[in-house]
Amino acid sequence: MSILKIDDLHKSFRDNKVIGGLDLVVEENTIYGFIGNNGSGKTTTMKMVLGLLKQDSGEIHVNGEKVVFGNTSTNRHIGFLPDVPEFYAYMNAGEYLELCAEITGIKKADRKARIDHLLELVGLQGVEKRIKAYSRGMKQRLGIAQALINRPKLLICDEPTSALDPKGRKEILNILHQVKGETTVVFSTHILSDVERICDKAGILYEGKLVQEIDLKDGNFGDKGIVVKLTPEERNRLAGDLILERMADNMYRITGCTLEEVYQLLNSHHVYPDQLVRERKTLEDVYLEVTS
Amino acid sequence: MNNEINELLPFLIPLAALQLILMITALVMAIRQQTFRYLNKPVWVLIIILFNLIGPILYFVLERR
Amino acid sequence: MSQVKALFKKEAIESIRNFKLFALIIVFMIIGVVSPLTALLMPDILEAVMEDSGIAFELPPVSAFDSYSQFFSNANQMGLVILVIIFGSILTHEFSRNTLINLITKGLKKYNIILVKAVFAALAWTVAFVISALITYLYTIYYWDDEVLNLFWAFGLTWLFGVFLITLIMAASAVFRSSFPGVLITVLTAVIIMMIAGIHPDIAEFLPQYLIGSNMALVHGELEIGDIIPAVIVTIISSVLMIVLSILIFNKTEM
Repeated sequence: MSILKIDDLHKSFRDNKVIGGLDLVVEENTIYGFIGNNGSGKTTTMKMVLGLLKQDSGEIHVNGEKVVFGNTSTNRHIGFLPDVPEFYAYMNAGEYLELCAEITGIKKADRKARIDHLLELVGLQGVEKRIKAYSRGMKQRLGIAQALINRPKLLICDEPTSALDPKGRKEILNILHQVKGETTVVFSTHILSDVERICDKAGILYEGKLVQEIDLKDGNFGDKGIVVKLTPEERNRLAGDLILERMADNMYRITGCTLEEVYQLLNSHHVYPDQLVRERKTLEDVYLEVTS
Repeated sequence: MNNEINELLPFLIPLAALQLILMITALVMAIRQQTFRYLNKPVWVLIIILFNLIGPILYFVLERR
Repeated sequence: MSQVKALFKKEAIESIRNFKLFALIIVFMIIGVVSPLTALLMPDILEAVMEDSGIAFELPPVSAFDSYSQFFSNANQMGLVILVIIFGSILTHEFSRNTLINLITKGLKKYNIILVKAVFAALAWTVAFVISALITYLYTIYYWDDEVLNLFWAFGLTWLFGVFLITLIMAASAVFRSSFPGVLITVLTAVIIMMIAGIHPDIAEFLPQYLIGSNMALVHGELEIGDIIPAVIVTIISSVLMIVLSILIFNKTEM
């Protein structure tokens, strides 16, 4: 069953069209990467899913329930981590989570166990200082803890790693990977290596639409080209029949041909290179292809 | 005159105490505060000391949000 | 219900830890002490002024009326200004720091935010004002034994006006969101408009402003309680309207 379903979503701010006909389906218990440039509408989309912004048209369903702006009832299925999570600086982590637990309506008897579990998950157990003394990374981790407090079926994270140093990023990605069994994770990002590291599926948002969906489980995004090593003399022989893109000394990339065609051409010209490598596309190649 | 001062002591003592509590609280907090939203530490300390009542109130409202 | 309790606790922790509740109560305690003191010193001050200018006439003896008169002039001016300054940012600071997003995405009802904040501010105002009024009252009955009228009602008028200002802050905050100056200017504008409208005597007695202009007239017995009932009713209705308005606006606000 799909946990999140978006149909033909539109949103403009004044005359500026941000989302124009977005369709998106996220299956349960996956990690979905929502990729897009800054300003491509990732945050706007997420806020509409949360009922914080009102869409111009289109429908959003969370766990089969329709999202209505101003009515927060679908939010009981969702946990949200904003790009820059803000807390009450005068509280400590335990007090803040207690506030969140009470607001979502967790029974008093269950609160302490849930809070302790989450503090341990994000590595903030035993931290007594107030949130005003937290680093960016600590705030981000507390942000995940507060988002998970109501055992959401869907965890939405807006650029959770963008502002962090490599160590902080790794911690956040590890936590997201850990919670995969309990919840579906949708996170937006423009850091493609993060997507490759933990996502099962990714969608690329460009000009307000989902232009491409990528299955990351097998890591095969198709062929980019075939790289061969050629002597200058061999290159001259082939130049008339093949498009050769020079990559480095004596290394050339052939594009626009299947492997079979390349073998036949090489054979017919009696060229037998020392090296021939089938080059796979990276996620970055796919991304640049569809967004230009 | 001495007599009059004595007569006013039931007012002056609590008044001075209240103003002092307000000022000292604001002063201690301003001195312990690391980063300021407006102005800086010496200016706030001066404001708190020079303008009784208004100084500490301004400090609480503008800097302790 | 658990949302209301949780939010209320949060507001209490907030106003205690950032010392706003403390500051409000101390200021009102000072008003409570200063008012009878000023009344007591007034003859000396006037005498000094008159000696300088060479005018001389008999001063009436200082009475309980002078003490309460000082109290109302302090509470209605400086006191209310400080109330607005301290609680004017109670909602705007949540917008400017985006702290509500986490809570609203957990299903926190927006009307609970408005209601709890308004009730909490009104409660803090009540505590500060009662302490202040009590201090002035105790000094006054200790130093003077004049017969005063309708004292409870006179205090109640200023209190009600303070509650009205708090509801005005909520409505202005729902409109201006993150702008604290916007809220201050709105409250100031509303007060000035009421003052201008109050020039017309037929309108004056129906305005909330009438409440803080009638304290001493009640104490002197120049006004009966019945005379101020229209203004009281208008103020209560306006306050409820302000709260309803802030909830309606806030519900429509995109975050």
